[in-house]
Amino acid sequence: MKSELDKIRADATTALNAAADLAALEHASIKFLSRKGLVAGLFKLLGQADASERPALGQALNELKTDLEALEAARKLALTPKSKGPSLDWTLPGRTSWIGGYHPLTIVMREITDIFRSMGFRVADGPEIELVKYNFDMLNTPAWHPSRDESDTIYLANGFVVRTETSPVQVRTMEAQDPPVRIISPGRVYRRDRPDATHSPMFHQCEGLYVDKGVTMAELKGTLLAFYRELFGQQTKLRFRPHFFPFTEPSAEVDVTCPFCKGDGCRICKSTGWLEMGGCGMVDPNVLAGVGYDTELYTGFAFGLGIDRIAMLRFGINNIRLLFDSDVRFLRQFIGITPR
Amino acid sequence: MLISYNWLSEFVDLPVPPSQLADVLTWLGLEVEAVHEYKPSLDNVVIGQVVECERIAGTDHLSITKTSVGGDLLSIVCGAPNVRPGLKVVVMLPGAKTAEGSVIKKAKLRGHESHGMLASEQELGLAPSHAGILECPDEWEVGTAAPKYMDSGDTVFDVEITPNRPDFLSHIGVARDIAAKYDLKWRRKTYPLHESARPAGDFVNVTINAPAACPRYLARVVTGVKVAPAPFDVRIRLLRCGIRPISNIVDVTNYLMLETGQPLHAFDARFVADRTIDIRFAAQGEKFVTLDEKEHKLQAHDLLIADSKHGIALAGVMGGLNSGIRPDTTDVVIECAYFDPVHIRRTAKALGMSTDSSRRFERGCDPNQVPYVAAATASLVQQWGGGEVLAGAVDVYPKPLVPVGIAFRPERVSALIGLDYAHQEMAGILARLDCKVNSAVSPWQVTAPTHRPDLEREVDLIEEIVRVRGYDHIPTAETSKVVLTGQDDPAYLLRRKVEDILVAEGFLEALSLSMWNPEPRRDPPGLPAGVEVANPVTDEMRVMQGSVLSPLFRAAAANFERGDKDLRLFETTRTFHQGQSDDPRTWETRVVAGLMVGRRYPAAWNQPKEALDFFDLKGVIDVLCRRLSLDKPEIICYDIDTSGFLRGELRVNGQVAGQFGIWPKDVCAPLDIDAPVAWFEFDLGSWLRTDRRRSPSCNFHAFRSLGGFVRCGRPRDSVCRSCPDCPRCRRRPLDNCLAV
Ligand SMILES: [Zn+2]
Repeated sequence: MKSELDKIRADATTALNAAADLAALEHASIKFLSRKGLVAGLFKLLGQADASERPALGQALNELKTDLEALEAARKLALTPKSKGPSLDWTLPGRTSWIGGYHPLTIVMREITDIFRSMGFRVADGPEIELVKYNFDMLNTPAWHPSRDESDTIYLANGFVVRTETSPVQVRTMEAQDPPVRIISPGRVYRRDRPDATHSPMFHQCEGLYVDKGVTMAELKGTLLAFYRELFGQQTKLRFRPHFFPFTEPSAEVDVTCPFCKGDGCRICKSTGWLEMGGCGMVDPNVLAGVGYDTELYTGFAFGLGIDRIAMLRFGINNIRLLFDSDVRFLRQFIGITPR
Repeated sequence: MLISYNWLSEFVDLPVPPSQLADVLTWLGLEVEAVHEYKPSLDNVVIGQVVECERIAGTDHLSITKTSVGGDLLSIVCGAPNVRPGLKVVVMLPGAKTAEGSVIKKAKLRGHESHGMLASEQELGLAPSHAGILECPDEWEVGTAAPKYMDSGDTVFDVEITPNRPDFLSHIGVARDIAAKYDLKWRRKTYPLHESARPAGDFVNVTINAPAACPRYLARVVTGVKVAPAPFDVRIRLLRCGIRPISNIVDVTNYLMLETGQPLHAFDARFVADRTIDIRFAAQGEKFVTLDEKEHKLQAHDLLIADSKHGIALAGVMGGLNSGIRPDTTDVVIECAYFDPVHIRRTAKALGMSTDSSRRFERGCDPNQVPYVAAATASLVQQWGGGEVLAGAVDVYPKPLVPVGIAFRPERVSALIGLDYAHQEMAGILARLDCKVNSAVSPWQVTAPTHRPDLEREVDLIEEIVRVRGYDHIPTAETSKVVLTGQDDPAYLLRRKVEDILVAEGFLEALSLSMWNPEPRRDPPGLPAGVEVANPVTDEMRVMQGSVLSPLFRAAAANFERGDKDLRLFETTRTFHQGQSDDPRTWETRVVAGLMVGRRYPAAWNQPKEALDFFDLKGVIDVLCRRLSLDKPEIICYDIDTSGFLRGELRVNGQVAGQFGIWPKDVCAPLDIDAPVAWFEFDLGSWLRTDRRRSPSCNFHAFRSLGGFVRCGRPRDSVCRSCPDCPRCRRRPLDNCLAV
């Protein structure tokens, strides 16, 4: 039966290719492919074949039929007189592959990271499960500070803390390296906030640190101004408000002019013209001394900013939970947006 | 903390009107979270008295009153629970306007005419309400226009106090800082004191048996007082600052606490056994019931104020139910003390109590203010409740706290800030903050006042100078000075590259919460458990993820349910792991993981409608290995793993670097995905540890059968054909490769 199959394949291929017009093609087609044609005849013989050979034969027969039908269709197209108009609708869409996209937080995180990298900051990283020593003690967090409370911070059973900021990375880097240190640490942080439209127990920060001889608060202001101008536009202004953070002294909160209304006041900045961006300050001497730096010789600045909030502002996202839901209807909206 | 404009202006001539004070506070470091304006609208508002009062049948709270406002009795319907005959009330007559802006009209309610409204503090725009309608003092005359008795309003600022500034928990503290900033004089109030001849020491005894926890305890005594409501203006002021008025005696303590920051407590002398006050630690397990009627089991580190028999107050936190002021109290013992912050904090935290008092002691009160505040308390108790103030105070202060001297080098200010300040200006600012400054020596000798426990070091003084001078004066330096040192974290760079490759391969990047709640009903089988957290935010976040495939799978299921059935999702994140039962260690792994479901090609007129299969997954892994030039990658497939699913592992340079596989449809269907799901999760750290080669790599596609029939893999003889020119392949392929 196998040899018969090969013969019919050869004969049919010759006949179909040889047909000079549509009538001849029709004739050949009836001979081989019609309901009573030679190929159909082969299918009837299948029942008599040895049971062990049947599956392989069946598959070969099916292939034969498919191939001959495809050939017939191709020949038919070739022999059909061409019409006046285009032979195909060329406006139909092309053949594409899947199109991927970055998460909005990645887009913003990379933008921020790359601005700081262009300013000579290096990216540093550290664990998300931290020692209390790095997350609090060496950041000069007083024993009584509420951020240590179990109501504010997530702990593991073994006493480790799920890091509440990325500053522990700064301490680890300073421990490992002598000044100058000029790093940023972007990453995930965790607080015991109940989730709602503006709070998530997991969010993203980028913190920066520069320690060297003669680093001043004026330089901190200049660095942040240059950064925010790159991020929000050259007209951006910046102001420091006094605040308290254990890690820094003096400490400040950073406001920048609202990029949406250029400082005139709008819904997003609650008519103040300013947006609160994060904390900063001069690294507390206790922190520097803790990692063995000479506080008479070296000074430093540190700052932090929230990535999620900037992403939400930038893309007009009104609920932080959308960021972590992996809803492809949301994620697809960022296809094609790549970091500047 | 609620700060009243009027109250502040009693201590300093404020340099700006209420509308601009928020800015002033902001620049001092007090973040203003809200501003409450109280502007009573008192046109057509008179004092009245309820003559008759009857519940309207069929309602659960409405009453019909006959209220006198001087002439004919008015019938007025009132819904407040505290309306009663004889009560002096504030009546808003038709035409009066409430604080919310609605105009009072004659109305008919439930068939009863109402000719006005009995007003609450809120409706008058006077203060927040606390208990129905406003209850007026009895001496107010019926028919009088209300403005005679009421002030013209106030502006109250809700400010966030940073934990380093206990002095800001008082009006005096805020006024003092404003004065320093604007170079103004501030003044304390003088409280006249008329003491009798009998010394307080004859009335009460004080012993401190825990001097470290209680460095100072001062008691004053007022006898023969009459408990009554505090003066109307005081009650309104307390309400505006968030404190419920209770009685004249209790209100004195709250009033002076808000004014000076010094928490106070008043005992009914009848319940101080033997009139003996003993400050001691509790016995382990000692029971004590606080004013809020809660019983606490104390520990040996909890500080108690006790009499000769038992505890009468939980020091610095809350008074006892057994010894507080009652309506019939006549003799009052006033406590004014300084407790050690650490002790109060420990007790408050252990008992889960945070009170106005504990918040102040925890942050540090001023021990040297104690006599002034105690005298002021006695004076006000007498003014508002009558009685006799016994002479002097019983003041136990064995070891006075001495403020520390700070060596201060003026040149450090410009070194740290980048701005030169005149020496004279710096000395002036410090002096205005009540520091003692000796600038004749080098370094300067500065002594901080005891109300500023946060000033301990040179840098603290620098901060004060910059803050008072103004942060807007800090110059903006050029940032051209850039030091290039070190390298970007290689894990960060690798992660970026992986993201780029997968996005180019058509994956959408997802980002999941790394905390979740494992549920066999919702998760694919065989994933690592993760690490439990001790205090989860919610039950849904019990565990730090052991694999990101679980949240990704759930996200995919949610998308599937919404009709998005062709999914390619990936995430770069971390997973968390812990040792076996006796091993307390935990560690984390940087991973990239992904899921693929649905079609092989995007739905289009010219694409075949084929479901993706194992080789689509393998193709993605292949692309990752090649584009990252991973060293000697091996994609090893087990046709069927022990749990019955197609599975494999990626090895890089001989080390296992992650897993991949397919969960068949019958596994996924009960988990809400009606299709097979292809997955991978790779350990980025292991990719980093092997050195990556620049040269094109060779992909071994090894195949190993664990028995059963062959479902995947290339024909045996083609194993090494994928890299015919690779010199490495001249070696024999892997020993465990069937192709050998
Ligand atoms: Zn705006």
